[in-house]
Formats: sequence, structure tokens, C-alpha cells
Amino acid sequence: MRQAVIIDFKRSFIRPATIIALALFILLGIGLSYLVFYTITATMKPVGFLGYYKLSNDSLTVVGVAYSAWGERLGGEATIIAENCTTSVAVAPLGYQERCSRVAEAKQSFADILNVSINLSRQLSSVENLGVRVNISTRYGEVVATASSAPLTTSVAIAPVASSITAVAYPARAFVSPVPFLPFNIWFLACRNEAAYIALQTISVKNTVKIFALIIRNVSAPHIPLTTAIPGGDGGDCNFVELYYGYGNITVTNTYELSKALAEARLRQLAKVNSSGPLFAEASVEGSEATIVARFGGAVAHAVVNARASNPETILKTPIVTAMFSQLSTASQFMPIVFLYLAYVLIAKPRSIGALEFLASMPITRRDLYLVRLLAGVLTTFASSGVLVVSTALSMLAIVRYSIDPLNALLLWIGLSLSLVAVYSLFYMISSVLKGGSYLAIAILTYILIWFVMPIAATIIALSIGGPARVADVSRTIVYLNPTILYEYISNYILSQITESPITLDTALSITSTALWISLPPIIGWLAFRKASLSS
Amino acid sequence: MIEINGVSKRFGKVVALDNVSFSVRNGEVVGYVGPNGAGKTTTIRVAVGVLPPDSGDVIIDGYSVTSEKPKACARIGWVPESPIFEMEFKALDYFIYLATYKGLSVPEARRVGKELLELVGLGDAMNRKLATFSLGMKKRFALAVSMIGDPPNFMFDEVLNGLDPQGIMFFRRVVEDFRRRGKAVLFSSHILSEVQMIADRVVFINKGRIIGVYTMDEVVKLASPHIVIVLKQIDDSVISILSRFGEVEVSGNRVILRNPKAEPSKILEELVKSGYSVEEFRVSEERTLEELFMKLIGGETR
Repeated sequence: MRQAVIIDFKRSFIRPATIIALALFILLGIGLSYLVFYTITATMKPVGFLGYYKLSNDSLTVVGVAYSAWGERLGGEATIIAENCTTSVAVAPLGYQERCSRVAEAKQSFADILNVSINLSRQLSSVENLGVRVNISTRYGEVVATASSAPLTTSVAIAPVASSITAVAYPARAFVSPVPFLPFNIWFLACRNEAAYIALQTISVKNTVKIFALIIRNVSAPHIPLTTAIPGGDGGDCNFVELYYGYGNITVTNTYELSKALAEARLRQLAKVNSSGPLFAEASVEGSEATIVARFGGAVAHAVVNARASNPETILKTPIVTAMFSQLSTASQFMPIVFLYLAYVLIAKPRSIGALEFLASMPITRRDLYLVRLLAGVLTTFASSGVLVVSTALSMLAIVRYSIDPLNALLLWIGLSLSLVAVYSLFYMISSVLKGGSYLAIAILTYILIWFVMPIAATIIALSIGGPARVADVSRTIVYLNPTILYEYISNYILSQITESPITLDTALSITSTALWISLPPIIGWLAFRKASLSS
Repeated sequence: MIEINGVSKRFGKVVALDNVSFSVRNGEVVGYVGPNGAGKTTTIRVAVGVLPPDSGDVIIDGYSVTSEKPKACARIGWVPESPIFEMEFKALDYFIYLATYKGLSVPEARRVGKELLELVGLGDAMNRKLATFSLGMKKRFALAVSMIGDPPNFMFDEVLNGLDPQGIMFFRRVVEDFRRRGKAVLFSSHILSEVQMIADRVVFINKGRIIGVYTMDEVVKLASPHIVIVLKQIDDSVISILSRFGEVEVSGNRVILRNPKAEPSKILEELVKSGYSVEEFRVSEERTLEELFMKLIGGETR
């Protein structure tokens, strides 16, 4: 019996109709993933660059990392352009001015850390202010990072960090071209002669666009990835860096307050970096609110990172999850055709030609025969749903770099599977009552009635009774009559969690409706099948 | 052993079977004879458990088909008149599928399938789709499936219909082999000459009712040429006279002289010459099974 169920399941699942339908829905999922991806990338640049340059012995060295919007280090190709700029700009890249002329250029591919030098011994004498432009090309797109020096005629001066660390401040030698909405905080630590410089990119959720939430993928509060660039090996104190963090909402406006706050804060070492060369350290901060302290040599720099500001947001998740749901909703809408056909192949057709009669002469009861093919179809619903949910989730992950989390994927699979079981139960019942052509006619009619006519009719009735205001109420009511209500409910539940909005469907009604759709039709079908003639 | 016990079945107003009872013993081939629509196929479909009877039961080796169907059906093989399968399957795959219902694992079913399909002459066709099979091939396939587990009872429903001489010969040999191996075989057919060749007993059915059950010896006797003689008085002397002309059966003042060795006129002359008063002297020619059957339909039931 078990073997027979498996054989029937295999031939249901591997048959062309099922495979073609699944392939179409998988392609639809991939297409939607691309659509979401291109919508996002059109809205934002998904590539950032964090780095610094050094000028020593007439040689310009650029060190840096490129990273994706989701914090992944990227390889690619970099073009470094040294330029002679007419005026100096103290703070880069915000003040990088465009009136520059190229003096030298180098191109280099890199896998992780970019480290490239250009010899400027011949050109440097004619340079007033050195401008450095880095064009990074990665598989996710391109980014241009710029920085410029103070006038080269004077000693290279780097502006110290502003006392208010909430302001964005970069040392002149830094390239920070963050993606618009970062999943993580970036520190740029520059140290020279015991002077600490810090660049902190803070994130304000309020001012971000909807896409923000996508980018903080895998960042679940209070986990905050922290990326730090430390230019070591230049004789400064950056060779030995300690990072600490502590809890508490510390606001510091001057050095005195900083010392006091640090003394009061319960600091814990976050990372200890011993760097003899350029380093890009990554560490995580735990805590809903944390103070990050960087300490090197005798200097201490700190920044307050408001972890709540980095909490995963729902805004970008919403279009992603909605895209997934729309794909699976389409599947739940049209997959019934496959199960309509499967019920025909497994029961209605063999019954109409009399092929079940020989099968019934095997040493099984008629109930066994009925259950074998019912279970085979049920297994097919679970397998098909599994393929759909997994393929959709994976295509989103591969293309958009964000996907639904495993628990929600599991819930979706259960919801879609049980909904399709309810659909199969309905068609199985009809196939147990009617044969061949009659089955097809009634089953197709039922499908059109439930999935298309009923919602339209309900809308018309609602409009005629209470006007547009009544349409939503009536639609919400008739959805309980649909066998795929559980899928609707679960997608509604997941979306409500993401958007923190209330669930619009009733839990008890949704579960009861599904339970009835799953259990009643097979019972009615059995009552007809147990005494039915199996001959042609 | 197959026991059909008082089986009745109606299809709407039509009585398909009316209290049908007979049995097939182990090592015995019983021919089941009747015209089209007599109820042969209905009896067999009830016996193999695919059609529930309105009343009565079929007992297969002690197991009721109605209440212990899995056990009963495990002990019976069925070759229908027109086997219908799910045609999208390949022969071996469908064999494996059906064999799993008989409790075989897939690898075991594959091994048995190859053996049995080879045995029934479908070795070259086991990877062909059933949709491409001829009627004869389908019957051979059904036979192969019915032989899974070597059941002790078989039912062949009009199995020789539509077969070529080779096919007829094949199934005849199969039935004879089953008898030799002590299996109970119910063999329905309207090709009476075949039944005559194969069966040990014949059950005649018409309009859903059993109209006669005969051993083959009895059938031969009924079918043989004979003279019916009614005498005013019967004594040892007249029996002695008639015995010289053939086998004598006496019933009251009626004598049946079977397989007469002389011309009827000579026998009559001898009786008259010996002083016996002959009230009736009727000559009956040799009958075929068909003629016998027609005669039974005509009212001669037993």
C-alpha cells in the first residue's frame, strides 16, 4: 500500500502537467525576483567604498574595500585617478570639487582589499591640491569615491573629528562612499601622532526611503554589524586598536562628558585589533543601545550608536515579501488546474474506462484503493508547494539578496500545501462521483465558479447593496468559502508581522474553513465511490 | 476452492444473478457456459470482489470475498474478457505497481515481473506502453499479474475470445497446467468445444440462473446418440437382447439404448420378433454441447 502510494505520487508529481506548471511558476518567481532587484537597484546604489589614501615618498597609495548594500565585501576592478585640483577641500568627499585635471591613473582588479600605488615623483611638483578619485566596478554596480588633500605646499593636515560625534566627519584622506541606506555602521579610524579621527556614518531611519528595510537584511536588532577601516602601518598609534562597547544611551558633547560617561558605562571589549598594516575590521555590537568606543594609543574616540535606529525595518521587506506572496498567490490561483487534472488522471479517467476494476481485484479493500490515490494527490500538493516556496525563496535570495526567513517559509509551505490539499479534496470528491467527461465539465465549472465568478458576483452584490464601502467587507467574507483560505491567512499573517499591521482575516474561521474543505469532500466522495460500479 | 453461495445481483430492474450457487474444487476445471448476458461475467466480477453482491457470498479457500476481501483476493487470480489497464504505464511498471498491492516490494516486484512477463510471452514487450498492447497481449499481461504469489484459484472470463490459435493454445496449456498443479479454475466461455476439451465439469447458466451442473462424463452421455424405447413390459430377457446392441439404461418401462451398434430398424425388428410390445421407438442423433445447451435452455434443467 505504501509503495503504491509512492508510485502514484511519483507519477502524479513527475507527469508533464505538474512539471510544466511548476516550471512556469518557478520562472514567474525568478522573473519577479529580477523585477524586485531592478526596482531596488534603480532606487539606490548597492555598492559603497570605504578606504583611505596615503601620500609618501612621491607615491600615492589607495587602500580600501568595496561592499554591497548588505555588508558583503565585493571584489571588482578599480581605477585610481590622481588629479590636480585648483582649490583644497578640507573635508572629503562631501567637498570634493570637480575642477581637477588628471595627472596619473592606475587600474587594478581586486578580490577583497584594494591596495594600489601610483608613482607621482614626476607630476607631484605641479600639483597644488591632490585629488584622488576611485572608480570601483563590481558585479552589483559601480561607485565613485573621491577625496582630496590640503594644499600640498603646506604640511598635510587632517581635520580632527568634530566634538559632536553625531555629525558626519571624515578625515581628508578618507573615502567613504556609503550606499544610501546601510545595513551596518561604518567607522573610519585614522590616527596620526596620537590624534584620533573618527568618521561615523549614522543612520536615520526616519529619513530613509522605503527600500531601507531590504538592506538591513539579516540584521536583527539588537545586532549591529560594525565595519571599521584602520589605516595602520604608517607609524601612528593605529597599530594597536581596541574597540569596546557598553550599554546606555550616552550623549556626549565634550571631552569631559566623554571621560565621565566612559567611567560610568559598563564597557566590554568588543574587538582588539593588532594592526601592522591596513586593516578593515568587522565586529558586532549587541544591545538595543550601545556606546562604541575606539581606543588607540592614548587617544579615545567614541561614537554613540543607536541600535534602535538600525533595527530591521519593514518597509523594504514589504515589497519583497509582497512579490513572493503575489507569485505564490498566482500559484494558489492556478495550481488548482493541475490538481483538477490530477484527480481526473487518478480517479475519473481510469474509472470511466474501467481501469479501476482490475485494480480493485487486488487484495485490497475499495477504501484502500480510494485512500491510495487520495494520499498520492495529497503528497503531490506538499511536494509541489515545497518546490514553489523553496524555489521562490531561493530565487529571491540569489537575485535580490534577501528572502523570507525559514520559519515564515515553513509557514507558507504549510499554508500553501494545505490549501492545495483542500483544492485536491474538492476535485477528488467530484472525480469520485462523476466519470470522465462529466467530471471535467463539472470540475472546470466549479473552478471557474469558486475562483472567478464568486468574487466578481460578491463584488457586484456588495456594490448594489451598500456601495463601494461594502465591497471590502463582502470580499473578506467570501474568501472563507475559498479552499485556499489558509494560504491567504498565512500570507496575511506574515505580512502583518512585517508591516506591524493587524491581521485582516479571522484565525478560527480560516482554520475551520480549511479543515472542512479538506475533510468533507473526501467523505462525500467515499460515500459515492464505495458502491460505485468500476466497470466502463 | 471457490464456492459461490446463493449470489444474487440486480442492475436496476434487471436480475443479473438469481441465487447462483456452485463450487470449483481444487484440481478441477469448471466450464462456465451460457449465452451472452447470461450472468457469467457478473458472477466472476462478484467472485473476484470488484462487484458487491446484493445477497449471497463467494468463499475463496474459506475466506469471504465480501467480508475478508484482501485475504480472499490474495488467493485468486483473474483474467478478464477485456482487460482494461491504465494505458499510460509501461507493462513492467504497471506490473510493479499492481504487485505492490499484493505486498511485494518494488525490487521484488521487478524481479517477479520480469519472470512472469517472460513466462507469458511478453518478455520483449515489458517496456512497451500498455496502450500499444493487443487484446491477446493484455490477456497475457492480466494472466501474469494474476499469477503473482501463485494463488490456488483462478477465474478465466471468456479468455479465449478474440485470440489467435496460438493464444488459444497458450491459455489451454495454462489451464491444464493449473489443473495438474491442483488449482481450482473457473473457465467461462461460450466456445463450448473449448470447454468440452478443458473442463472437468460444466455449469450452465442462463438469464442469471444456473440451469445445470454436469460432469464431463454426464455431458458426453447426454450428447451421445441413443434410442428411447418404451415397452409395455420390461424383463431380463429384453435387457439381454438390447445389451447386444449398446449400453442400456432402464427407467420404469423406458429403456435408453446409448451408442447403438446396429441400425435402429434392425433393433426394432429384433424386439418385435421376440414378442415384445413396443409402444414408442424414438431415435436421437449425437448432440453437440451447443445442442445440449440449447436443449437445457429449452427447459431441461437439473
